[in-house]
Amino acid sequence: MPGAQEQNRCEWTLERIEPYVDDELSGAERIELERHLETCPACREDLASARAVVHELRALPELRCPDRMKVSEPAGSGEESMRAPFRGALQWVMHGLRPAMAVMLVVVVAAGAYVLVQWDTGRRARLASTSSYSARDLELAKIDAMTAFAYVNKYSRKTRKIVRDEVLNEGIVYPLERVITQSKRRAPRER
Amino acid sequence: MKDTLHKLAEESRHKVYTFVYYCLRSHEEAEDITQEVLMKLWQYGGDIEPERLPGWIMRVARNAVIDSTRKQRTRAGVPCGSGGDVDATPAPLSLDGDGEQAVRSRELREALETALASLAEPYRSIIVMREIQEMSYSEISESLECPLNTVKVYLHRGRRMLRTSLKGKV
Repeated sequence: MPGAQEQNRCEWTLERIEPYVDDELSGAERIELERHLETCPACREDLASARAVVHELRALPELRCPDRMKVSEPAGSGEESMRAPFRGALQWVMHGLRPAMAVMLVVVVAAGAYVLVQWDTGRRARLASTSSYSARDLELAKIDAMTAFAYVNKYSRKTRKIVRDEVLNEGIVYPLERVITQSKRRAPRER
Repeated sequence: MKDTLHKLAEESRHKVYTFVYYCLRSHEEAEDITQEVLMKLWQYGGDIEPERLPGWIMRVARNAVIDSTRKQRTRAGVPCGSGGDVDATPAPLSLDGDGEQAVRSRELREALETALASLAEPYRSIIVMREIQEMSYSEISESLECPLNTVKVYLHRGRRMLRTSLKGKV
């Protein structure tokens, strides 16, 4: 069936027109394509339009960025004076130390709370065994203990926030999000 | 290092500007993104091997273009590139032969720029880099972090898409 054969030949040519324009076809394919072009006006038209598009694209000018654009080092980036490897190492150490610092803070707060409780329990026992303290002394001691517990509470809240923001979010959640976003972006390119 | 970065910023600003403009058809966006890329160059360029910096710059520019396209589509609900802020000067009303030719070529250029900006990624970036900026296949491959043969395939497919959208005009 010559019609179908001819159509197949046109499809074959159409797929190779762009590489032909860029002179990227192998010798045999090139000869075959040129032979078909001699007999097919439609494919010759396709070739002409492919060449025209390339010609028009290459005629588009490179643009000049306005001179007001700042190319020099931005103010306030004084850290640039620090050598890059040293800065990198410092960032790495600081980043690595964050979880350790958070854990240390939790331990210190817990130890502080334990000491305070022990101290308060001892004080209460001493107070109970002696009658030399007045009701006012007891009231003041109660206020002291409440203040101490308020401090413990405040710092434990702060610690929870640091653990959540700097250890969990910065260390695990955000990097994971970045990795997922990047892999999603790369996926269509690798089609 | 500062000297290298300064030299590179000076050399690549026109390249980044051209790339962003043809991808988004907006001088305003091109300026903003070029400035953003230069800031990033100063911020992180010192940590990157000097020979990889040109490819890195184009990669940063392209990511910014993709982000901007996504934001525009989300904001307006229309394809990016369908009507930029460029070349808004009206054409003269009466024309002689040369004038007609000039208008036709201007219209063709506008149609081409619009069609180019409407292409999907990575076709658009690859065509701008290869045909307008005359970058080599290996430079494009490094900038886009994709194999060289894939770049060729995308380039040819993208040009074919352009041909389809410009049918009857070229």
